Amino acid sequence: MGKRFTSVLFLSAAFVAVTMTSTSVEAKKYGMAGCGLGSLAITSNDITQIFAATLNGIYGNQTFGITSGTSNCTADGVVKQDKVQELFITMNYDSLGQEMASGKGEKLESLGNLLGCSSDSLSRFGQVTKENYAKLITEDSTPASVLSAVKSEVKSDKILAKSCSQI
Amino acid sequence: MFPLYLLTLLFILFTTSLGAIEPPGSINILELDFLTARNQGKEIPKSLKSQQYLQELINEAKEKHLSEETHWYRLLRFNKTRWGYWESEVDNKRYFLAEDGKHNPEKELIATLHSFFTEEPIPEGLQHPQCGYPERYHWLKEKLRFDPTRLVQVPCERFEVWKEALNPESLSVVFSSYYMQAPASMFGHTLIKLNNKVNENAELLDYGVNYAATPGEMDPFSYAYRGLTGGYPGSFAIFPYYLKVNEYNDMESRDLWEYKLKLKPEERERFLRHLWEMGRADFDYFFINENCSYHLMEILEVAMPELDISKKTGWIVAPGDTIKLYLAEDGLVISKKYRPSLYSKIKYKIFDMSEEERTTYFEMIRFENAFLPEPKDNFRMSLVTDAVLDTFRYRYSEKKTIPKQHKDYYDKLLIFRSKQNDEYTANEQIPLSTPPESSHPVSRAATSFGASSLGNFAEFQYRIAYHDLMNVSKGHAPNSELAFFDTTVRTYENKKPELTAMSAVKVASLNPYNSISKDFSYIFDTGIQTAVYRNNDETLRKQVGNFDLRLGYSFSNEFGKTPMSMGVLSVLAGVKVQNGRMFENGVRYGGNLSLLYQKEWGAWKIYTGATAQNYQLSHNLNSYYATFKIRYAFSNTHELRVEVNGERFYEEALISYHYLF
Repeated sequence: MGKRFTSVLFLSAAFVAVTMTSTSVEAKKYGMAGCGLGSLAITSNDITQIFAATLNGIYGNQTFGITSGTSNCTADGVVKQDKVQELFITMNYDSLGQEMASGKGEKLESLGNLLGCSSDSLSRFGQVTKENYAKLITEDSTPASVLSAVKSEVKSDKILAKSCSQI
Repeated sequence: MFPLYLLTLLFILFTTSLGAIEPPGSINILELDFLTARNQGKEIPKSLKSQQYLQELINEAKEKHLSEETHWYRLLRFNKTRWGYWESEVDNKRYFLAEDGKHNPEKELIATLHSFFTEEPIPEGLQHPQCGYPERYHWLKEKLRFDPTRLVQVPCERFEVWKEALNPESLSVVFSSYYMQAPASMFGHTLIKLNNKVNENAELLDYGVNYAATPGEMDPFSYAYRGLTGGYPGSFAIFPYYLKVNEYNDMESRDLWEYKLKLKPEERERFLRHLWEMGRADFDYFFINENCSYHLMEILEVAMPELDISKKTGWIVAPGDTIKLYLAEDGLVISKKYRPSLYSKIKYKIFDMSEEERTTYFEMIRFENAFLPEPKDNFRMSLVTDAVLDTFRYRYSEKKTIPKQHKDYYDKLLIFRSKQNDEYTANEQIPLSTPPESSHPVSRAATSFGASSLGNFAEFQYRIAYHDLMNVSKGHAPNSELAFFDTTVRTYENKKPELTAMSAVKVASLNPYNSISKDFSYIFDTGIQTAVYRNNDETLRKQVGNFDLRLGYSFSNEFGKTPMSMGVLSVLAGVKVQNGRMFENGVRYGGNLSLLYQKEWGAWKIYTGATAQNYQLSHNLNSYYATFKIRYAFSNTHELRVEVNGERFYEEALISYHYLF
């Protein structure tokens, strides 16, 4: 009896020790053997927190070919055309903000792509987001507001207005 | 003892709370889907002509033995079970049109032909079988040369739209490296990226295919248990690739390796047709073998009939090993791309910095200073600021809350950055981790000879998987260990063989702490060990149950000119519990303190350390354990090790030869 008791005691102690040191594990959603669970990235930024809550709502259905397969965001796992830009900003909010401030980066180029900017105008696009950064992202920005702010900057730039087709 | 370490095994491996992910769609539509499919499998068309044609097709299929063809077996995932009969790996009934389609390829083929003649209107949300199973349809149509006037081809708009959106020109298998700070991501992961020509310069916009388990709400124990025993459904899903890059590259800071595969146009079409079918399939998920990597191999085998690799895996399918299999196929992998994690990107920037830039950077990442540097000569403001911004994101990627002061500093810094106009080029050419294909095989057998204070001995060791601290680290997570059923059997002179040690699971991560990553170190071991004790002046060895958990920090010159050249020093403290009849009250337990040092250079590695074990708490004698080991690796598969170990009442020296396979 005593033996079993101490075993249990130690197991619980270890349990507490590990859970205390691995809060990051607790807060995450993992799959087995490193094989993802189809969990969606949730970043720390408050703003994305809000969106993360609705994320499974807007992007909870990545399956395809089963039933109707459509949500208000995707059809058979493919993001609907009218949601593509906003979803991209939502899901990359922090890193995209950083790339806008520095005027370059892979995610920023991808956004330029989604706005239909020709490849030779992407560096200009980066320059424009950088110059107007303080206007584009503020304390109370949302992905939707960032998108429309970026679009209006693009429209008011003589060069970009011509070379970006999805604004 | 058994339940204790079994519990701990389950516990450590999967101390993960998982968010609930609802299975898609409502349960009613899935039920409707099932009933509809079963009816369609028995479909008898109304017109006599069609009935006649259906019968002709069935007869011809039987004559040609179509249901025995490899492609049909692969499409349906038929595999011989351990008991010698054939069975499909697909585990949901909805996937099959025939009652016993899971066990009978021929009946499923006949039911498939029946279903293609379905004339009834298709219920809302479901598809005509010709559209639900495009690869089955396409293959049978070719084999039996369907006459479009006698079997009308149904337009499949949903499938066509989907296919058009993905439109891959080629496929890449993506490997996500190990993340030792979280138990469930120590094994690596693979997914497929669909390379769309449209996104040639914006690969993040491509789609990725992932096979994963979809558990609902549950506790870690049932998760672990069910994960090992196939208690969760696994299924395929597609994602924008940037979601996966965020998850692995940014949040978990795992480097990604992309292997582009050569794909003929007809293989691409076949892949998409079959992937669509797989959307309907659920499998029992087994994390050891029927896991993400295994299913990706199978789906690729359907697309490329010449490919035959899923049979080449052993009992354990390690994601990194599947990459080796792809690379071994002649001309299959056409290029390789490395995608550094956020942490790697920070490291690149630090390596690039001058002494002065570094000093400023390390000052700035103490966010409470809220420090903005003054412009100076030969000082790349943009480089330093970007590194600080990266560090902020890295540090807070998994935290729910950010202190307001830090967030304010970050926002200020972003605006500061947008006003800097100096340029630098990030130097990210040389990968900071080693690719999975360079890793050693995971199983290990070893023989040793040694001398000890209790006489000479010979020993045999076996480990199922994966990696230990003395193995060559390339291709694996450095300074880490992950071993299952690491077993040692010994024979001392003139004694019966003994089971010296059997670790059910051993996990260690001794990654250096630094002000950026703040990684902690840990060692966990549970199973059977041998205790040496004194009884009436006689020294005896006896097997005991063992539980060992130590936490602490490791240190190294991670950002030096030659990173880690000084080796890694670890300080750990924890508890050790052993139960055995020779101990007071049958158990000894107490705190222990370890000082460990390891250094690897090329084929050589040394590992040394001492642990003080206090058992006073349990009224047993205190002890210590000291070790010194040297490894020389002839190659990835052959190692020679020499070690000297000592503990209270006992010393030994041994030489061992290790073979990895």
